[in-house]
Amino acid sequence: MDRVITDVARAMTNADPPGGLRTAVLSRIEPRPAWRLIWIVSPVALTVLVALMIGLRPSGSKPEMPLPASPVAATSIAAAGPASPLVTQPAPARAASPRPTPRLSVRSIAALAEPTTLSAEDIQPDVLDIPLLRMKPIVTEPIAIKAIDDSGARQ
Amino acid sequence: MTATVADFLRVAPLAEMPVSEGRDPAEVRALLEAARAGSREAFGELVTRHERSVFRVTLTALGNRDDALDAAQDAFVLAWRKLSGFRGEAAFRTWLLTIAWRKALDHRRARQIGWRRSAAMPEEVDPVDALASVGADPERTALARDLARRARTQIARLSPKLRDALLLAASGEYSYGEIAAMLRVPLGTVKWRVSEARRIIGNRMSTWTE
Repeated sequence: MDRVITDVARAMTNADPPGGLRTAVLSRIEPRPAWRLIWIVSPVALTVLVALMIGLRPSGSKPEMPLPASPVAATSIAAAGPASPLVTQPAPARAASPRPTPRLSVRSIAALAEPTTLSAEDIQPDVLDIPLLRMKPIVTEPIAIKAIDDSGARQ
Repeated sequence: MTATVADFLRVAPLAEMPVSEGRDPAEVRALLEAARAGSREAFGELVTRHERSVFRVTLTALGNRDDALDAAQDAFVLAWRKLSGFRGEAAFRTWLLTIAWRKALDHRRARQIGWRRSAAMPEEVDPVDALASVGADPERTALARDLARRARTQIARLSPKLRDALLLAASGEYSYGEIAAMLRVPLGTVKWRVSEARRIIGNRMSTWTE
């Protein structure tokens, strides 16, 4: 019985496809979308574009570097005296930093040619004239205590 | 009487079914790479190599040649679109058969096709009749044809799960591993379904033969 079932079941599915299946399939498939290639090309193109934009930017439009604190001014302030609160000392750690010194443009160096000279007198405060406080001596009288009159209580 | 039909056919036992769950041969891998790169010719070659097995899968699910052909075409088109997602974890043939089976089930659901209704092929020679028409003895041929028709009726009366498993296994085209992948059930479940289908049909047929 098993063989009968097998034979019949096989006969029910034993058929070859009609010719032209390959042609029919190929006529229905569209060219493979190149989305994978786009994912590869897009970042590369973006990188090249950014590099070109940086490389082709005119040098005059570069933003000026912020000026470092003027060492001349710091020196003149320091010469005014150690009591001056405005004396600034350059940080030794920063001076010894291995980081490369930022390149300054010509315009920046010209601006540093004539630094504004600071004098200590300009910033010294007026002398404070505060009268000395004088205190009067405190005079205290001795406390007098009356004698207790207890004559009535004895009676 | 039961040996009469079988005697007309010399079929390979189920144990000799091809096993192809392993890696694809180098030639198929080369075709796959070319197809992934967009070669329609390479994909066409893959279609040629697998069209028979794919068509039989869809025919098993639908029982009708026209519907099976439509589903097979849809399966190949879908495979072309999904080819970039094929990672080679299973054999390409298994992956393709799974797509074909899913596509055939979609057709079966979408068109509300009853397998029994569409099983008839009036314009063609019934393969089950042809199965028993080889003999010289007219009486034996008639008996064998009657037995085959009754067997087909009983197969068609099975539940879809049992019938699908039995037809796929009996076709001799697919291994149990491939059937399990197509049906998305464990291997043991496939074997049980095939065995259960045979048992049910055998019980019904034995009632008739007695």
